[in-house]
Amino acid sequence: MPPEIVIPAIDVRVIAPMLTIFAWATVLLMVDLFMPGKDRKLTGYLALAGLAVTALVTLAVQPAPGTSRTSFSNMVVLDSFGTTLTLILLLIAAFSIAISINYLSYHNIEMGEYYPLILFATGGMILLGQSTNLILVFLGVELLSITLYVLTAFFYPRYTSEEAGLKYLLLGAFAAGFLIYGIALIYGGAGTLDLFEIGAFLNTSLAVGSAFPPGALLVLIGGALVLIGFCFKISLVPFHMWTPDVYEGSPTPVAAFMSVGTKGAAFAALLRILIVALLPFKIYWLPVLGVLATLTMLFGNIAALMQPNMKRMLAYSSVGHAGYITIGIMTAGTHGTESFLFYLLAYALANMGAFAVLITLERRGEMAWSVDDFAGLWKRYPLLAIAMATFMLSLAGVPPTAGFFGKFFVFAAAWEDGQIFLVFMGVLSSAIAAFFYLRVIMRMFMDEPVREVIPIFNRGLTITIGIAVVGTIVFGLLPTPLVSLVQNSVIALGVGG
Amino acid sequence: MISAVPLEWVLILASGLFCVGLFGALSRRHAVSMLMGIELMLNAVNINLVAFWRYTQPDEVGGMIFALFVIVVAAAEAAVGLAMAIAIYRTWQTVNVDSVDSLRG
Repeated sequence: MPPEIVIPAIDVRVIAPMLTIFAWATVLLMVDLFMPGKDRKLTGYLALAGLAVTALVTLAVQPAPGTSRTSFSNMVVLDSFGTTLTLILLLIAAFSIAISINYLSYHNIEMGEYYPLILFATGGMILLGQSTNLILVFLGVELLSITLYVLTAFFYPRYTSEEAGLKYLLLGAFAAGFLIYGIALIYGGAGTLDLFEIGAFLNTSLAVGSAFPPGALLVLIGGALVLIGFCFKISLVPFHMWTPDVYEGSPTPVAAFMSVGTKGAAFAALLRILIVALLPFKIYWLPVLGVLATLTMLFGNIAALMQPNMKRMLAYSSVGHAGYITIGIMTAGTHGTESFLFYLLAYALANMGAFAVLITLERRGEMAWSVDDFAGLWKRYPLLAIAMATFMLSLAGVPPTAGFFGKFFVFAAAWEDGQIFLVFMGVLSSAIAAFFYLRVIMRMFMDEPVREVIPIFNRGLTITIGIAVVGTIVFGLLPTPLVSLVQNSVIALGVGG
Repeated sequence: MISAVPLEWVLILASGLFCVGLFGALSRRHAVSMLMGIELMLNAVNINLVAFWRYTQPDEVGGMIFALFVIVVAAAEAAVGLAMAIAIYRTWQTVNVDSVDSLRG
């Protein structure tokens, strides 16, 4: 007898943010086709409008604090964690589009598909943050990855961009193979793809006796493979080797978008998998993640020390930051979730801002962004130098910036959880990191200009840098409103409720 | 008929196929061959999913539907991958991944 297909009750509010952004992107793709002329700035502005509409929809359907909505046979959940994450992701996407609008025409790569692709990738990220079913986790990962492969290689015919795209695609598809093989094993072991049901299955099967049941063993192996797949996406050492190459080769706004958006969404999905489905295996994944986080923080920051190329330096610094975010994930049971969201926002503001400053200094047809270009910036463009210094201080975690509180909350959560060693390694690697961030500031304020680099300014870049500076300093001086926002962002641990 | 072939055999076949794909993806230096290796890995997963579905819970649809999703995603990935191989060939005149290596440091 063929399986009977029952259509479940549907609550469209749960997927309203995704629905809006995907519909907008699809329509935008069509509208762009019929747009006359070669100028594609209007498409960019329409994409920004789409992000604003999505943000309004997200706010309109947000659940009351502490509650959550599930629908589509519990495949998707809308909780306050998902809502806050969606808003942060929309802000990141808006920054990326704002810094792209003039960048694309300046570098002669203006094509209308760019903006819908960013919207699709953002939709995939939102999906990752909300899915409670492994099918949707896989779909979200692939949706954002495949669009990012295209965006990475968007700088056609610049050959480094094509190379970065190919490297990203081959390694990303390779990682996807591991991810989905792991998901298949989890499905075989637990007999379900639903995160809540996997958690319940593990609880019952591990409680039976002292023996390790074969089903749980399959889930354990599958969970390890899923973790490897995610480690590629969030570039934890030793799965980080693609990161500097891809960031250097891709168009700078895309690198900025990738460095925060992909990481945030993939971490959110990993967080849900670890604390909803695999919580009974905490004794196994906690030490593994601890080792990975330590290696990542140390290696990322030490490698960044040696980099004369700014884009590669920011790439290694993003590897280092992935290590700090991992600590937040590990302590997710207590205050880790909040510290993760706070850190993500602080990191997003500072990193998007730093990439925006990089774009102002980027010249047509040039592929190297040396730290030398920043030498003496203070004497020529004091405001730009101050902005860059703010971002560097925030990335280094120096008060009074948002980055300081991000690191502080992550370390506090780890301390509370008893991860003293991790806190120690985190502080140690922050000290290493401070060295290369401060080196950029020193070059800007102390040195004489090495060569004449004339920054290009436009509205999108100025607004992005402005918002990022103000946000970084305001959240550094007055973190309370943001703290109360993230404290209400509780992750849904069960169906409904 | 199901009892004739135990689940373990199917799983061993799938893991063997996964390893063949893994070896292909790691050892080949031609971008298209590497993509073929990755496709093999994804198809091994499909065998796993369908086998688990048929043997453990034939009344549900989860595993079977997931296999369909994997096929669609693999097709999309292959389309982007081959398009990129063509773009690479136009700019580099080769698709050998050892030659396509200018980003270092």
